[in-house]
Amino acid sequence: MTRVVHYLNQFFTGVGGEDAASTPPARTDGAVGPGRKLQALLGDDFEVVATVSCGDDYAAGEPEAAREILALVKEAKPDVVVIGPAFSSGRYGLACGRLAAAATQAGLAVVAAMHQDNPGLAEAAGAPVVRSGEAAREMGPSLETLAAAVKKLSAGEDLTEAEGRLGKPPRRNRVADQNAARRAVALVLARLGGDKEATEVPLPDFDKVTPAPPVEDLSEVTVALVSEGAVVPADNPDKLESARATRWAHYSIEGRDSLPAGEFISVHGGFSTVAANEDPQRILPLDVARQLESEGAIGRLHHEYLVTAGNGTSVGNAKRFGTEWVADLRKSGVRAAILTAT
Amino acid sequence: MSIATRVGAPRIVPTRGIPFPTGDPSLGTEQERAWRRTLVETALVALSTAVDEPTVFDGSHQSNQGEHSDTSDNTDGA
Repeated sequence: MTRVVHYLNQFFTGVGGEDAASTPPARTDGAVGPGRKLQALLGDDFEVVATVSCGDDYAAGEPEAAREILALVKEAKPDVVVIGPAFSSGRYGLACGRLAAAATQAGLAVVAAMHQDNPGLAEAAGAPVVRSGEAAREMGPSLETLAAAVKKLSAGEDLTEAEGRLGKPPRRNRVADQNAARRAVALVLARLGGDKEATEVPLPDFDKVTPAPPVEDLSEVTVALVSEGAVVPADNPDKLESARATRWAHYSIEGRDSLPAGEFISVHGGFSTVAANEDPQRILPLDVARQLESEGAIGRLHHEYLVTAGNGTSVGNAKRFGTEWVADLRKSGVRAAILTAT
Repeated sequence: MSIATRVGAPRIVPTRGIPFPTGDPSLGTEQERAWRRTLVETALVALSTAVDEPTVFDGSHQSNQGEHSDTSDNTDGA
């Protein structure tokens, strides 16, 4: 019998909704809520021996939450820790990702489930996460994916994309059938034979972005300045992170013709900011943009700029920023943006 | 191939250094501002140009900051 301990948030264990989001972690015996369906899918060889639950605010906001949750999980002596599915819920996803990372670090077998755009995916730090639907209406198929992954994991097998695994699986050493020289020659022969895909070092697969159509007349439209160069007011009022940013900010440039040294700084942690702090326009070209606006080359400069720190940012967060920026700019009627990248 | 091209940014204007994408601390104040203006004008050319793949718009050799960027990199779909 394989002992399963299941983690869910306060909503799915029936503790309550937002009103109960600050509930601290607690454990109950047996399967609860979606855990019952999980138990049915796992069959008689598995037993959900306990369910650990925590309020989303507590789990995402309390620095010690993941440790406390993990302690409750460990007391139930799991063979496998099953987490979620968190769908695309942000706080729940963060809790699931952190617990997955902590449980893996503690040497436990673990699998979490969430939507591929959930920011919690980045928190899992390589611990196994399989895909779920976007929202709870997709609970059924999401639990099926999760249960299949649990079975595979308990059988000692690695989870791959075929099981819905998200993110890049961690590297593992293994002994190859043939030495490097033979494999290299085999790859050359494959290439000469017309196989352009064969490789032992697959390059990261970036999304293909369809370029937006050109702006027909820039003198008629609003143009925004956006940047990942972490230029912020000198007191960094929103505490923008200098690395691994999880958020972005926006600051007014209404009525400004320049960004004076001292009033704005770059908090980017990936390069020396001496040059940027001498003249923040080395990252955000407000002076000439304003000039081009007054000359009519662009219709109007957007009244604020959007900014984050592009330094070790996870692809998931970067995608989210991009999506949020586009939504924000569209809502404001901006038709084009100049993104300065450091 | 630049990182920007590799990750698929559609319209790219190359600059002179990571810490100062729209500046160049080696220049005097006025020269630097003129360089910044060249970059932003090149960006405006890029925004007005149809592209169907990552395309580099290099305005750094332009003497006449006009309607067309002058490198062969950006002729696709222009």
